[in-house]
Amino acid sequence: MIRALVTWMDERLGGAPFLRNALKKAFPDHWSFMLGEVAMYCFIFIIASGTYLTFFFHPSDARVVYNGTAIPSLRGRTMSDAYASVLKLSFETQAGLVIRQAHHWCANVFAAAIVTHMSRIYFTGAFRKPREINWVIGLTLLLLVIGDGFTGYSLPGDALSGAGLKIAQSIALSIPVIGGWVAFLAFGGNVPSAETTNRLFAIHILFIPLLLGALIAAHLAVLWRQKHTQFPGENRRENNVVGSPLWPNYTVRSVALMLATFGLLLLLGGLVEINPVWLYGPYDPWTVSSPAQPDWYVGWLDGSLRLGPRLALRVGGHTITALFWAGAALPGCIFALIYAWPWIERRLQPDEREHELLDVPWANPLRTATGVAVLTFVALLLFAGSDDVQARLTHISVQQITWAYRIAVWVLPPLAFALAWRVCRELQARHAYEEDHPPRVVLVRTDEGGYDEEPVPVP
Amino acid sequence: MSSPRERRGERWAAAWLTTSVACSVAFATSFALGGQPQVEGIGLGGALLALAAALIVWSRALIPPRQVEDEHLPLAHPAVQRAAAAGLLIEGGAEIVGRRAWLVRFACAAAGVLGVAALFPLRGLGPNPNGRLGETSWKRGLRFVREDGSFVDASALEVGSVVTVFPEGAVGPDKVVDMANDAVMLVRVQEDALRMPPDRASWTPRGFVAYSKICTHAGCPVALYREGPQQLMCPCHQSTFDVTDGGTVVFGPAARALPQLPVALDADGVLRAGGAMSGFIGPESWEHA
Repeated sequence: MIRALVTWMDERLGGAPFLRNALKKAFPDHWSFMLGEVAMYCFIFIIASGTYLTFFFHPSDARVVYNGTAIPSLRGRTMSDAYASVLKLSFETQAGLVIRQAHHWCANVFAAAIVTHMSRIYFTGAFRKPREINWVIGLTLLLLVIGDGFTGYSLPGDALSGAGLKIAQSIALSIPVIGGWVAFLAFGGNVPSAETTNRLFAIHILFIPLLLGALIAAHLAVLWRQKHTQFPGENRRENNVVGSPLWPNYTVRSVALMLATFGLLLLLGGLVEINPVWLYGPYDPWTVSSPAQPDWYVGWLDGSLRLGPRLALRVGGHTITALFWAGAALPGCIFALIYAWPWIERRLQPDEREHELLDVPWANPLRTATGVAVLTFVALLLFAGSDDVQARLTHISVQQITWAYRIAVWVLPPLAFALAWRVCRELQARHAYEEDHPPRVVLVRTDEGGYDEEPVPVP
Repeated sequence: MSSPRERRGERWAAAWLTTSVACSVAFATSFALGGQPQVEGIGLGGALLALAAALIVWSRALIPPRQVEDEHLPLAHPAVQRAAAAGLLIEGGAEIVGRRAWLVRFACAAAGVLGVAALFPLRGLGPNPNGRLGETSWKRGLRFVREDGSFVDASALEVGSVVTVFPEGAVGPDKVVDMANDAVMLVRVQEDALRMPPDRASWTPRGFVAYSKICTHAGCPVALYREGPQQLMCPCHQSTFDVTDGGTVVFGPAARALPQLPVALDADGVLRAGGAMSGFIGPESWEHA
């Protein structure tokens, strides 16, 4: 059977040698190489679960009166058709709530998997020549996932996401020159308008997923061509890559990872409530829920807005608003820095060689310290995004907490940089010392409780 | 003959497969009986996780570990090959251009014109924002109504009370988009607590003060009233505005005071707008001077 299939395929595509090489392809065994795969499986899951949701969701801002039975407190309320359809698919559609919550959880896990995957790539120097292309594609994928997450949780027309949409449109409007057009194009007019949900729906289920699919294909094709990097070790060289063969060893492991990812997401979808829009209520533009926090991958932007400077500039009949600095300029600079890092690092530490062996993180203090500082900065913004909740829990005034964050975002990242640099240097020194001073004896505990010295076994 | 390790692996894998089957059956049964989110999640998720566990046992205990080595051949080719590829590109390009540089320029210009023409449909995808941002329906003389259309009675509002009001004739389920811009926070404070600028002295009869409810920072509703310090606070980013002195910013990222709506009080206690909004409502944008 299999032989006949391979023959059929080879006679038509001539693919037998390719298949043979592909099945023998080496996949490094380190666990951190699976983070990107988690992201890939999240993409599959989010497309599948999202397709299911499109069968039941109405992307419409038409006003309807709720007459469902699931949420008695909302009976008779006027709401958007979108919100009513979300209530229906959550409570009157079989497995609807599980799939909707698993879909939302998947967006959070997807973004987290990309960020951890990129951290692995960054701190081990895997982005260096020849892999700059995939660094750029990967960061673009993160941007798209953040965008798709935001447009996704803005669809249900609930009080929480409605305010988020208004903020996003206000940020778009703040962008100099093109802001007005961008805002009205993306949201179908002012927010709220009768077109907003429909416009976001097209972006959420068509435009961004198509880009994601195409870029993921390109990401994998480049990876396949360039082959994997690997950590240094015995028999690991710049011109080879050692690992498990794709078939059968790695395939079984990777399929297990896929099933585990899907299983975990469905378990979360069934057991852990996320975005309970029926508690927030439908969006009336003059109401808002408090406290109001977005998903984590948008939370750092919200934190940036909370700390932002009260600085508006007038430029020839136009305004560069306070919102622009914190909502567009700062995140733009952070992403520009990450996009450009492979070239920045090569400028700071001239190096034209290709790298197939990874650095351990402490091998390059400048890179590691910079990464730690940037992560610290973004993490502080993320925490600042819930300063009102922290104020409520600690009984410290939100003004004081905000000021603490305003100071911390400028003070702590340099401190984190210095600390990481120092730790890297210490680890370098320790490893250099150990290489210069190999141990001469090994201490062995005896049965009586004492210690004996034995010579170091020859490897 | 299988080793004890393999036999143990087989038993574990079989146990996980059994778990998976049990979870699948639980899911199908729950679904058939009408469905229950927690059972569905545990059933479906558990079936997949148990299958994953079986495969992990399988790969660790039953498949012989194997290491293979791939070669990293240099990606770059000899200079000759690169030159040949680049040469083809250049020669072909030269054949297109030939001695017809003017025609090339013409073609580029034509494509440019097409690009400009394409901007028109792109523009049509959204209405023109110019000049229409931040306008409201408020006009002098319009009475204050609540969300449900009922009039606001001044005598029913004690000091410290807050109510969201709209202009009469502009509320209802089909007017939500307008209501989003028109929403106003009407607050009653102690008259002697007011420190209004002189030109606004007549805007606050008997301590009734009204401000746009749309935050000047990012457009969220400024929904929280803190009675002690007499401040309006936006729950989104904590911009805080002083109710007593014309809505100036006392904390947070907003850079502009809340627009104020002059309040007029008839002899019979009816509250009206004493004029238009003091400025455009909502966040500033590039479009604003």
